[in-house]
Amino acid sequence: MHIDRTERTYMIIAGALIAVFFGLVVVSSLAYGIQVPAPEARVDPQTVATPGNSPWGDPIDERVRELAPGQYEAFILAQTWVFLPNVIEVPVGSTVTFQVTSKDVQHGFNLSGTNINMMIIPGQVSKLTATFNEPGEYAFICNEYCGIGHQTMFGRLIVTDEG
Amino acid sequence: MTTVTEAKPSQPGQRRLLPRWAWFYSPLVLVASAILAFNIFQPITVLPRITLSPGFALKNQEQITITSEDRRGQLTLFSFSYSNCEDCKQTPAQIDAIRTALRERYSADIGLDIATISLDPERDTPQNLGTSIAPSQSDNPIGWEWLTSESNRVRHVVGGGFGLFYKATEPDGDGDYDIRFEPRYVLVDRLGIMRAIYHTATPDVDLLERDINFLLNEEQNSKGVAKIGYEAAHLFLCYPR
Repeated sequence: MHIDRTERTYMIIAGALIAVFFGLVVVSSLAYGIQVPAPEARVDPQTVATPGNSPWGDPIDERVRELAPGQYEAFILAQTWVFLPNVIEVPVGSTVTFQVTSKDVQHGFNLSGTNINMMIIPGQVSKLTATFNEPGEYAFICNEYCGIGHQTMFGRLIVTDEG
Repeated sequence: MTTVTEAKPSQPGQRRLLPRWAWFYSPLVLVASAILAFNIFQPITVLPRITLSPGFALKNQEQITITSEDRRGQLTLFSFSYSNCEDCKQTPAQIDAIRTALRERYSADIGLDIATISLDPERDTPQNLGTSIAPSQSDNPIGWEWLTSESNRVRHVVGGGFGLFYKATEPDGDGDYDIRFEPRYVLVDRLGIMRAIYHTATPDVDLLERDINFLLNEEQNSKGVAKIGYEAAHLFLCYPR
């Protein structure tokens, strides 16, 4: 097969670049211990909201729990088309671990002002942690289209000044 | 005299085995195939490195301060309970059963200890624990001790470090109260990294043995070139199912 010399040169350069970047990814992953994100845990989406079965079945006002001074965990259930709870309040300086799951369809969880952006898949628990050093309101929204009421699916994290 | 070498005319129909560019890319394809095969067949299984276990300085029932640094070099199975727990009266018997079962399965001392952190440090002071906890199986290399301290310190270790939420109920007329918590066991390796969390009050000894074996195998075999394989197993999430 005849390939033009210039075209072949560019193909080789492109292939070499792929090889170099692939090698860099492998080497840096091994060197820095980077791991592919994995689901934190698995739950049964049909029973996850049943009281007594999981923290997502607890009363809504008990789903944000203080683990230690300044450390909270929030169990948020995503469902069409609401987050439960959809208002969370923590004092400034708090570290909050969000554990989010869905009981119906795929949702998203994007928290403004942070790098929290998770896909919420029924049966899996997505978990990320953020520290809030600035008081104010942080909106969290569903950023995966989940149906006709998708645009109503949002909530607020209120960081109060009383830290 | 001049020697003239005639170039051999290329014979029609003679072709290279592979074009030159294929030789250039074949190592890349081989490496990618090997990685894909490793990911699919997962020849090495490891326990995940969940996160670092918290640093602590707590007192045991003999009023000796035990720190997380003291635990370095030992496998530790942490559990959480309190001595007045009505719902977990079986805990000492269960832990003794685990110790007995593991002693029978490992002929040598594998350097494993069990530590139970009290969730009720107000009542479980080192003195109280020393008088209420009967020593058992003193000949068993798998030791067991209770750990306690001031409430705030315990909350930082258990809640902040191990991520276990616990809460005292309202005291009744006699001032008695219970602690609400989700039973949990945490296996920590010799480097102080949490490797397995068991959300149960009664851990399955077979499962414990399997996970301890994964840790022992990794310690023993993850050396030299094989270490790359073990690191790849962590990278590609080759975890037990």
